[in-house]
Amino acid sequence: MTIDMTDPFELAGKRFRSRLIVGTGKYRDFTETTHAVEASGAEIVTVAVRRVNITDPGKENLLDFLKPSRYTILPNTAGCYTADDAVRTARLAREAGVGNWVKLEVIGDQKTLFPDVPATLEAARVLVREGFVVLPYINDDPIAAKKLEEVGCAAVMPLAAPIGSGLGIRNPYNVRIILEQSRVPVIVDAGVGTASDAAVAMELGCDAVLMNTAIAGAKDPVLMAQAMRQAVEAGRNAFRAGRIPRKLYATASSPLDGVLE
Amino acid sequence: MRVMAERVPLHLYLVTDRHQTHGRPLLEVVEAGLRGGVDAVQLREKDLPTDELTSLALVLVRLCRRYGARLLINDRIDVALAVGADGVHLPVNSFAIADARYLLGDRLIAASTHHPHEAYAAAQAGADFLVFGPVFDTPTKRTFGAPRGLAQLAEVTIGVEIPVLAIGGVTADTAATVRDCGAAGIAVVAAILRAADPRVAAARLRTQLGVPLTSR
Repeated sequence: MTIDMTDPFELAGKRFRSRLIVGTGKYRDFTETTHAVEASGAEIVTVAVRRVNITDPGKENLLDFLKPSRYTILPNTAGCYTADDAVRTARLAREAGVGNWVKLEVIGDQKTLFPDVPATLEAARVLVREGFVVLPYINDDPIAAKKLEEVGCAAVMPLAAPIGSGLGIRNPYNVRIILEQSRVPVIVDAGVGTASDAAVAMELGCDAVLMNTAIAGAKDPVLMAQAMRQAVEAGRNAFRAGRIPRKLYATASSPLDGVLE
Repeated sequence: MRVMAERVPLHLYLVTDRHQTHGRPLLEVVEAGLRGGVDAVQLREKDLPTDELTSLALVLVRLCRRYGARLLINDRIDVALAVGADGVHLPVNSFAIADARYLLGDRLIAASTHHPHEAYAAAQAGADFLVFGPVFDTPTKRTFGAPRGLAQLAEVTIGVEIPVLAIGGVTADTAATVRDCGAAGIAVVAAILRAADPRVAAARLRTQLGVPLTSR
């Protein structure tokens, strides 16, 4: 890829043009998945290796549609509730030849799908030691983010809100603190509902946004994917452009000096 | 054919050349072809300046849509985006498919290929469908070298999972054979543009391909 690398997204030593990462779950079929992913402009896609077929030659394989030569495939450990489970799932994905990147999810509660942070930390330690590029899903807790960065994760991925909730960033202040302290990329993951949520994440200064349900669950997923692409670009540009400060009172747009009598 | 092919159910792909219509207006000949069953049109008028190409493309977009056919613009991603065409057809020395995809999102990307390795690379890079040829000898395609033949066509159709259309001297007599080699359809220039009755010529080609036009 050669076009438009003016503001590349650097992650684990690779450079990307797109700051939108998309999941591949919850679509009607692989054809719809492909259309939406293409419309989103995403270069990194996550795959729930426990739920989506990428290994069984007898069944339809997602990777025939989203080719590893074109996309960076990020297997995720969705559906894992213990560190052991997550580690095993990550190893399985690597053995299946999908590369050594992993989006680490260890879920603590079925209703909220909030991460079990101690278990995530434990799994991250093991996986980093085994040479994986680990991208951990965590809550928006700066301490959790710091610890996961310290064990060697390639990024930290604080949630905006519960997976699939569509609430957008509920605690921008925590996200800002995480941004201040992190030396690895900060990727908002989970809870994005619509385009403005993605733009807000990028305006805060996040390096990227990851979403699945917001696109797959929209009435028109391809159109929403396009909107998200634009929102991430708009938010990033607004961040780089340097916004005006927020003020309680007005400041006239033209100076009052020399007003005509 | 796999699920991916459903995205592009195309069998008869007409490539334009306004110098090959025996003096008839291009739009008239294209419309006759559409009536006869052309399901995709590639606008390829390399000698037209951009303003004229864009005007022509705008008219073709509407015309094709009326017949439920797709319009792809040869090489010119900018024109395709400006007029809202269905996609772009990339010749060999055009944009890299990955870069085209960045610009086009999920619109169609077709690639011209002349060797099996080009076909495999284009499919891997994310093209939606391929045109492979020249399969038979034809004046339009002599600059691309000797005809590749049916064996190479078969090799390509087996080797990729996206639709492959054969180009290069395909006629009503050879269309069925080409289909038997695994081609999803054919791309034609003279076979329709030079025909006395382009509508009938298109309909015949579709019948020979095993996909006769049922209504239009």
